[in-house]
Amino acid sequence: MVNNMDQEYQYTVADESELDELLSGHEVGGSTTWSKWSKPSRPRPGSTGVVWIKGNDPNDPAHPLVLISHEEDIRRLCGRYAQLRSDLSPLTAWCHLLTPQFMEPLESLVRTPDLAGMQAAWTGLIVAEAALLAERPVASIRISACIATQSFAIGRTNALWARVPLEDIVKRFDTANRLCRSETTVQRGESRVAKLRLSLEPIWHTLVGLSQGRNVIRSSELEPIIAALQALRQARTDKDKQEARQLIRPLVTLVPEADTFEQLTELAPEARLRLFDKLVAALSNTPGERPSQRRNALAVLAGYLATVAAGGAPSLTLAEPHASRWPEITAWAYLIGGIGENVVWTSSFDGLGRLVARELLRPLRLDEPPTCDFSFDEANVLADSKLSDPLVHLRVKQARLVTVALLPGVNIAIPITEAAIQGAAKSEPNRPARTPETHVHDPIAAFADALWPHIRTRMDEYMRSMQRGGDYPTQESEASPQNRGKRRSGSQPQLPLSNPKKY
Amino acid sequence: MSLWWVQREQLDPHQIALIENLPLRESFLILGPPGSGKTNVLVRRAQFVRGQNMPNVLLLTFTRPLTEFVKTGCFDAQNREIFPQNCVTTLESWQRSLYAQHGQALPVVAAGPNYLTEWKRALAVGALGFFGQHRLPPYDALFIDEAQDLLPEEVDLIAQWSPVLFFGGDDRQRIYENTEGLSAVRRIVPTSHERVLSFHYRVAPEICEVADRILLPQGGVSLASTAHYNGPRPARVSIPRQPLPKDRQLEMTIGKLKEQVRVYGDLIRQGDRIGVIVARKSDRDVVFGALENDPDLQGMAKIIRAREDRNDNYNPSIDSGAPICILTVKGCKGLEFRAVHWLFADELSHYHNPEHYYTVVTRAKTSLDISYTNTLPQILARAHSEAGVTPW
Repeated sequence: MVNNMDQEYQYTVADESELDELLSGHEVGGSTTWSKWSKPSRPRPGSTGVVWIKGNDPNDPAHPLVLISHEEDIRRLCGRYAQLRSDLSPLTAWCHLLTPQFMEPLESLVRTPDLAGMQAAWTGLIVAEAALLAERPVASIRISACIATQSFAIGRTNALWARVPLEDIVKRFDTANRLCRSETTVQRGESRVAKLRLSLEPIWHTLVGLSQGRNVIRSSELEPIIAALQALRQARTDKDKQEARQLIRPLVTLVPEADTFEQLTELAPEARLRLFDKLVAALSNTPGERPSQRRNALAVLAGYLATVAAGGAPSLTLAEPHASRWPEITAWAYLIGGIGENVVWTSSFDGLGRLVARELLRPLRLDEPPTCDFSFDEANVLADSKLSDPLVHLRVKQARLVTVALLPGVNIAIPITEAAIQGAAKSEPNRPARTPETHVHDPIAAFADALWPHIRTRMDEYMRSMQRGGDYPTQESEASPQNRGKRRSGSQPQLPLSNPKKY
Repeated sequence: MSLWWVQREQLDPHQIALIENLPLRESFLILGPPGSGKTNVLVRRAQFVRGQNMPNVLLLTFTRPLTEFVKTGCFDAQNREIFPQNCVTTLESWQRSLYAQHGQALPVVAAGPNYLTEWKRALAVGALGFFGQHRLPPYDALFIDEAQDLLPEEVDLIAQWSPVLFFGGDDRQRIYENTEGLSAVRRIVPTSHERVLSFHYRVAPEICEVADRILLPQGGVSLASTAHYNGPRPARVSIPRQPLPKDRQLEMTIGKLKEQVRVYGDLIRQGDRIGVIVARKSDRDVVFGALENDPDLQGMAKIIRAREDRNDNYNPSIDSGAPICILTVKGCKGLEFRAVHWLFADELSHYHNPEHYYTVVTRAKTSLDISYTNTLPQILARAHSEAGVTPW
C-alpha cells in the first residue's frame, strides 16, 4: 500500500515500452512533477500519460495512479494488456483511466462533487427510482439498489462532471448493463427501465437545470417547472408558510385548475385529497405518449400535493396506486421533499438517504486506487458476448453485483450474468483438496470421505443458488462499495426508541 | 420546510430531563395534560432504566386497549421491536398473574352498583400478602400510566413490589368513579418528586379550545395556551347543528373515513389510528357492521375492547392492518387518534361527567366529528359552535 501523504506525484508521457515498465512498477526517466501549478502536457495520440508515485525507500516500486489516454487509444491500451500482460488486466481495477478532457480541468488529484445544494432532491429521486423499479416500499430498498439506478448515474455525473450530456450518461448506463447482465435479465429489466425513463427524463433535465444554475442550456419547455421549483426552494429558505403559492405561480397558466394552491394552507386534508384526485384525473385526460408541458406541470403539482396532503405532512401513499401509470408523481414527490434541504446526514428514508447522499458527494480521489471493479471503457473493450462467460477477461470477484465506473468516479452497481457468477466461482483460489484420511477401521467414515467431493460440489451450488435473487439488487450486496470488507452482524442491535409522533 | 430530511424534534428538554436526568432509584410522579407525552416518557424512561443495569421493569397500564396501544409503541415504523412488549401489561393482568404464581384463587365479589370498583379493590387487597412470601423477586422499577384512576389499595400493592415507582397521571382525565385521584400516589411520592410537563404536542389548538370549554383551565393555564402542536393543519372540529338519524350519522362517518384513510395513509403506516367512539357496547357492533358492509372500508376496522372472560377468544391487540378503531367512551382512555368520530354522542349522556367529555375530545389530534341522534348534550353544545354560522 502506498502512503501518498507528503509525496510528490510524477507525470510521464509514456510510449508502450515505457508504459510496460511503469505498470510493472519500474521507474522511467523523463518524468515531471505533477501539480496544479505545473499541469502536464496532454499525451500525444498513441502515448499514455501516467501519474505515478514512488515511496521514499529506494526499493519501493513506482505506483501508477492515473492513466491518461485518448479515447481512440483506450481500445488498444486495454486490449493489449488483457492479451499480452494479463497479470495487469483489468487496468481499471487498480488504477484510474481518464481521457485528457476529464484530466485537464482538474486542479488536484481530488475532485469534490457539487450539486449546488440539490443533493437532497437528487437523493429523493434516486430512492424513488429504486422503489419504483423494485416495486417495493422504501423501507425494504437497499443502498445497492439505489446505486444501480439511472438517476444515481446522472446525479453523480452531474456532481463530478457537469458538462457531460445527459444522453451520453444514459447511453453508457444502458451499454454497461447490456455488457454485464444476461440477455434475459437485460430484456426484462430494459422494458421497466425504458418505461420509467420516459417519465423520468423531464425530471432529470429539470434537476440538472436546477443543479447547474445558469451554466446549462435549459429546455424552454421545462423553464416554468424550473422556475416553480426555484421559487419553492426560495420559499423554504425564507421559511415562507405559503410556499405552495410560490410554487404555483409559474405553473398556473399551464394548470389553471390548480389555482386553489393559492389557498392550500387553508384547505383541510380531506379537501387536499380531492384536489389531488382532480390533478390525477386531469393527467389521465391529457393525451399523448410523451410528457407534454402541461402533463409535466400536472405531475409536479400532484407530486407536491402528495408531500403535504395530510395537512402539511406527507401522504405518499396517495401516489402509490398511480405508480404504474404515473411514476412521475412518486418521483416528483420524493424529489420535492428534499428541495431546500442541505443537511443530508439525518435518517431520512429510514437511514437510506444519508447513504445515497454520501455516495453522491463522495470525493473522487485519483490519488487512491479506484473503488470500482472496472471502468465502463475497459469493460467495453474486454467484455465478449461470444464467450460462455462474457466477463471472463474482467476477472469478476463479486458474488452478484459488480461496480462499474461509467465515468471517473461515477460508480454504479450492476447485477451480473449467471455465467459470470459461475465463472467467478470457478476461478476461486483452489481450495486445498481435503486429503481423504484412511479410515481403515471405520467403513462409514471411509464411505463419507469417498462421497465428500460430490457432496461439496452440490453444497456449493446450493449455497450459490440461495444467494441469487431477482433482477434488481434490493438486498445489500457485498459488491456495493459500502459493504466491502464488512461482515453483516448477526443480530439487529437494539435501537433507541422511535419517537412516536406528537403532532 | 423540506420533508424527509428534518427529523422533527420530538422531545422537549423537560421530557428529556425526565427520561435521563432523574435519579434512577427514586420514585416520581409525572403530571401533564393530554398529549404532553406522559406515556411516551414512561416508555422511554423504562427503556433507559433497563439499560442502566435495572432490567427487571414492568409498565402497567389501566385498560387493555391502552396496553395494546402502548405495545404499538414498542415497535418502530419498520415493525422492529425496540422495547420488549412483554414488559407492558394491564394492572389487572399483573395482579391476576400474582395470584396464579402464588397459587391463590381470585377473590369473589358480589354483583352490585359499584361492582367494578369493588372487584378492583378486592383483587388488590387479596394480593397484598404475596410479596411477604418471597416467592418472586421485586421489580427494579415499576412504571404506571393513568395513575389518577388507581385505588389506594392498588397503590399500596404496587409500592410493595418495587422501591422505584414512576407514575404518570392527570386528574382531569379521571374516568373511573370512587377513586381518590392522585391523592393515594402522593402519599408515597413526596411533593418534591412531582414533575409537570407543561406543554403538549398532540392536540390541535382548535380541539384544545373545545376541551377548555368543557373543563375550566386549572390555575388559569388553558390547554390551548400550552399547545405546541405541529401536526397537520388546519385542524377541524365539526358538530352538526341538527340531530341526525343513526343511519345518516353512520353514512356521513363512512364518507369521511374513506377520505381519511387515504389522506392520512402515511401517518397510518407510521402508527396513527382513526377512532370511532360510541357510548354503548352494542353500538360498537352496529358501527363495525356498517363499515364491514362498505367495500372500501371492509377489513379496515376493529372493535377495541377487553376480553369478556376466559372463554372469550377475542384478540385485543391493535391490528396495523385495521387502522379504524371502534371503541367505547371508557375504552378510549389514554389512546390517541388522528381523527375521532364520536357517534350517537347523546347516548348514555346522563352517565357522562365533564371528565368523560374532556377525555373523548382530547383523544383527537387533528380532526373531531361529533354527531347525535336527539339532543346535543349541553356540555358539548356550549363547548363548540360552527364558525361563521349565524344561529338565527
